[in-house]
Amino acid sequence: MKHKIKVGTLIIISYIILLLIITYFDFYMEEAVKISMFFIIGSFVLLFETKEINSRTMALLATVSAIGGVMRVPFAAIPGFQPVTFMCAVSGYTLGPVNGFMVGSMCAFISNFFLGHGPWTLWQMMGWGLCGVFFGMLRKRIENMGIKGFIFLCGLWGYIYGTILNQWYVLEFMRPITWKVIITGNILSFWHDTFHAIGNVIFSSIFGKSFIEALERYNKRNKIIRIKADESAG
Amino acid sequence: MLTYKNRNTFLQRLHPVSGLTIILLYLLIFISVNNPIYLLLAALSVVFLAYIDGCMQEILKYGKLIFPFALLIIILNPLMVHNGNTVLYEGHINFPVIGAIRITMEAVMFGILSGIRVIFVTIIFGFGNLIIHPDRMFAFFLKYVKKSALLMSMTLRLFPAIMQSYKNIVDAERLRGSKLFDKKFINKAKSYGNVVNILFLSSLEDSAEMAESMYSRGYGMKLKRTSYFYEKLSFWDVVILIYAICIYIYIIYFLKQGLNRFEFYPTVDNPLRNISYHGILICLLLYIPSLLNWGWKVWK
Amino acid sequence: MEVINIQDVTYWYPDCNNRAIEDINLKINEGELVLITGPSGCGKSTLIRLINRVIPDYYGGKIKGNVYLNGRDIVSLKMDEIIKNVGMVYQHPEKQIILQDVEREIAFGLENLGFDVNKMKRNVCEVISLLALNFVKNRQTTELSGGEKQRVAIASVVSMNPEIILFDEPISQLDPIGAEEVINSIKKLNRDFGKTILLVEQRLDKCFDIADRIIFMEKGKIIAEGTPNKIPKEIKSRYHLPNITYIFNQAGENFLPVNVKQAREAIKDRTFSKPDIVKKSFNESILEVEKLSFEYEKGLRTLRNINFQLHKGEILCVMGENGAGKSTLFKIIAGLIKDYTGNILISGKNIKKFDIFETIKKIGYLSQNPNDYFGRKTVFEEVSYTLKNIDEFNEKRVKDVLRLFDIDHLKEKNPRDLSGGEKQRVALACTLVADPQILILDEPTRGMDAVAKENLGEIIKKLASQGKSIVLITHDVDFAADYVDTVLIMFGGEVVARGYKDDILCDAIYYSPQISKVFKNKCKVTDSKNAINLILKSKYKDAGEQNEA
Repeated sequence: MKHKIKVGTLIIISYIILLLIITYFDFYMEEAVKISMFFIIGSFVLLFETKEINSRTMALLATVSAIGGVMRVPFAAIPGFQPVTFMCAVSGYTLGPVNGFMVGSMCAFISNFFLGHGPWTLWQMMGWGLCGVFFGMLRKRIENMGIKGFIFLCGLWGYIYGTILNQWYVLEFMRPITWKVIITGNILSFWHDTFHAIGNVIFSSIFGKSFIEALERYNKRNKIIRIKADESAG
Repeated sequence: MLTYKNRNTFLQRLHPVSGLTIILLYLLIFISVNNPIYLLLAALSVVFLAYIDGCMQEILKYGKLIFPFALLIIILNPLMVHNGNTVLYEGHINFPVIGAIRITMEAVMFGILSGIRVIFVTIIFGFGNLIIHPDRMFAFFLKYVKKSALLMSMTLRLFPAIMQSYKNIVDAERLRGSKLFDKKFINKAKSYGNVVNILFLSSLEDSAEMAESMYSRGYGMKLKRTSYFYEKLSFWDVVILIYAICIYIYIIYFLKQGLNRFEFYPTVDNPLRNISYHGILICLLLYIPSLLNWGWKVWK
Repeated sequence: MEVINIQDVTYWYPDCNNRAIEDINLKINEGELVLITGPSGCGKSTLIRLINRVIPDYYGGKIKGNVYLNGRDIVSLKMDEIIKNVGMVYQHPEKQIILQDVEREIAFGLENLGFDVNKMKRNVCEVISLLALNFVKNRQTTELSGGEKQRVAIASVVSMNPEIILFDEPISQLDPIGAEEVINSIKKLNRDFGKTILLVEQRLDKCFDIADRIIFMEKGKIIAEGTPNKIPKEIKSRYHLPNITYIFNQAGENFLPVNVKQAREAIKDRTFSKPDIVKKSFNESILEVEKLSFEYEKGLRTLRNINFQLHKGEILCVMGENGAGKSTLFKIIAGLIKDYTGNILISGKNIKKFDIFETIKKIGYLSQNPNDYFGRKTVFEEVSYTLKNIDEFNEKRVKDVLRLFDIDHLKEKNPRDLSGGEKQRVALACTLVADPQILILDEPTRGMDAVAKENLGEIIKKLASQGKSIVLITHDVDFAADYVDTVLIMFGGEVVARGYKDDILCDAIYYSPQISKVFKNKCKVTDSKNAINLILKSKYKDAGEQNEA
């Protein structure tokens, strides 16, 4: 099963890279990026549907997604400060890439029902979902790097998320698309993304370890030991 | 916040699929059509529909919120894009990425069009939020994407509860002197972090109990899960769906015939000269849902 | 016919050396309503989870012994066979409901069992009528009251039509009205539908007399079995008996009534001397509320023209139905809500002029959920947190508070690993560490067993004698009657009664403790100690001796 997932996501990601390259050389292919986004979301949903899930994980995913969504509300006032990214990273890291994706996309999707949907919804789902996937897939490497590596990557994802999110107006509404347009559109959010990254770093350095530990403790499956009456331990 | 409130209107009583179809139809129009006259007519039909439905104020408010972004696009496009024949301003300084500033009227017009487009696409999304009940939509999806739909419903249910938990924790922390409203950013961040920590740990405990309740009701067994959704398509649903399919086919024909070509570069086409009968007809047909809505209201 | 047979079961939770339950032998017959009771931590919740195999399947751990359902070993049954036969309802209504739509929540179990839509619809409709949820079904689950939520949870279990239904403290988190609704539903399920019911509960006043059989547990073992009419002689503790029964037991009576009706019957031929009621006099006023009004939303008058005073050393109880505004009123007094009209003076100074540090030193507010307090790694850190925030950290002070609440031995433990009662005490310590003059406790007795309540009551009395003023917001009238001095009743955002406890509680129709109801018309008494003394000294009318009435 694990082997299947790894291959699946690898294929998808390479497909995306391919498409992106095509897009920037052929103008009428902006749609291709959107189509491939739907494709990514669709395939993760498919992966999620086909794997076995028990009630503990389901309840946990719903809870973490809801917490992530709720976290967006009070921080709307502070620009760029989004603890959601941190939550997606932690969930992806402890629960695996597919679950991490679901947490990220559900956070965006459901909280937008309360905060307002818009063309950005899809890109938010992608940004946070891919954050979860990233941390899930690179779990072993991050473990070897220790907590400092985790913190650094959280900060980095501040920028990556910002870039993905910018596409909602760059790719959708700016025509025609050239390298110039893409780069400038993304540079505009630099300060925003920097605050985001700083916030992520602060959060993950203070709480990263404890959140990961708490989630791992939750996930621990306990063994059942049955003692026969004649060999009772007294 | 733009949350769904039950107002007992025509659109809210429809099957979630019909609601979705209407929204997707409008989205398609706004994204693909280029001629500003068509866009304006289509936009008016949305506003009209909202007016009859009784939520025009809300979606216009929502549109106002997105205005800054639209402005951003209106400004950015001419700065970035230098095609076009009618030059309004030509600068001589060669910036690193942007190049020399060359603002053309075509780029400005396109920027304005894009800005308007953003506003209306956003309004459609907001409108969707007001007429489709999210939980009913998830219940419908439960038949097809079982786990994801259940996850969506559960997250939706937990949202207000965790929001309340959050408020309680903030109150408790405030009364213990936490520096939530301190002036320094670093203190604020730490205090909010504390609140998030407590919220996280408490919610984890709660989710363990929730999981046990699900387990003791049989979730997680190897049996095939069925879904409890019994909304059937009513007469109006069928009407709307047929209407939507017809328009969709008409639009595809319209696009294939090349009637949507409206160039901005190198010069802006004259919108009036670009109109065809088909385009106008499509726009007028977009008013049908409003008429249906009005008719339902009158004949109730 | 025997439906449940538990044989020699002993169980250890994972990574735990103590036995949660030991040598349990229990047989349950079809159609019985069995009540299992005991103090916190006695293993009753563990015992009940054996029957639907949640222990050991869901929790893991070590188990010895056998459980049989309808004669078959539970280990050999498939999960869906168990689910179809045994359903379980849990303690917190909030944490059982997973969906927003009432009908879909009820149908959740049926979806898991793979029923088709039409059969599901039928079951759901029938269950909604059974549990009187007809007016509830069109609302969102998040908007329901506690009792309604719990009934939806019960409906969700009953819709699968199990023959055995397990209840794990279903009313401990509910207000009295909700609790009554739930207990009536349980009675109906047993009496009219013949379901076998196992009820684990600590609030015995409401359910002791409906049981066919009562199992008394302590420290993981079953120590006795009885019926409401035949209570074993060794059962004397406060946590094993309803309040009334305990009082009569302490008074040395032979006949032990289990509800108000039986108690009144038992004392109808007796005369009682006047109870010694001590009305404390209060000198110094510490809190004055004048013409307080507050609107939560425009037009929604949450609080209207509230006026009252609180004195030094006074223990005040605030009662009222849900939504009457009790919590809101005291959140305003604690300084959490600022846009109100009227004046609130503490020690003569208007609280609008207080900064946060002064507020913390004057008022301590304990919220309903102790989990809201636990974010630090050890109990010691947790209690020190408030002091560190206001730059007044004093190690001796923290140690004194820990000792006062008898949690000194827990100071290095993680607060989230503690039991319910211990958590409550830690939360109290956190509130008290800044030495506030006014202490507001919001529903502190939820989920507590009788002995823990007694301990809390003693602490409250000690604090009051040291000069602190305490406000107790609660639904638990019997607890309040034992420990408070004055009472304030709120309804619809207004104060409808205010005065000494004996004056208000004895005349009240609804907010009167069971003791008052028992001694109605005979004499005015509200608390247990007085009641015990009265019964001890009572004489029968026909015994010849006339007493001063």
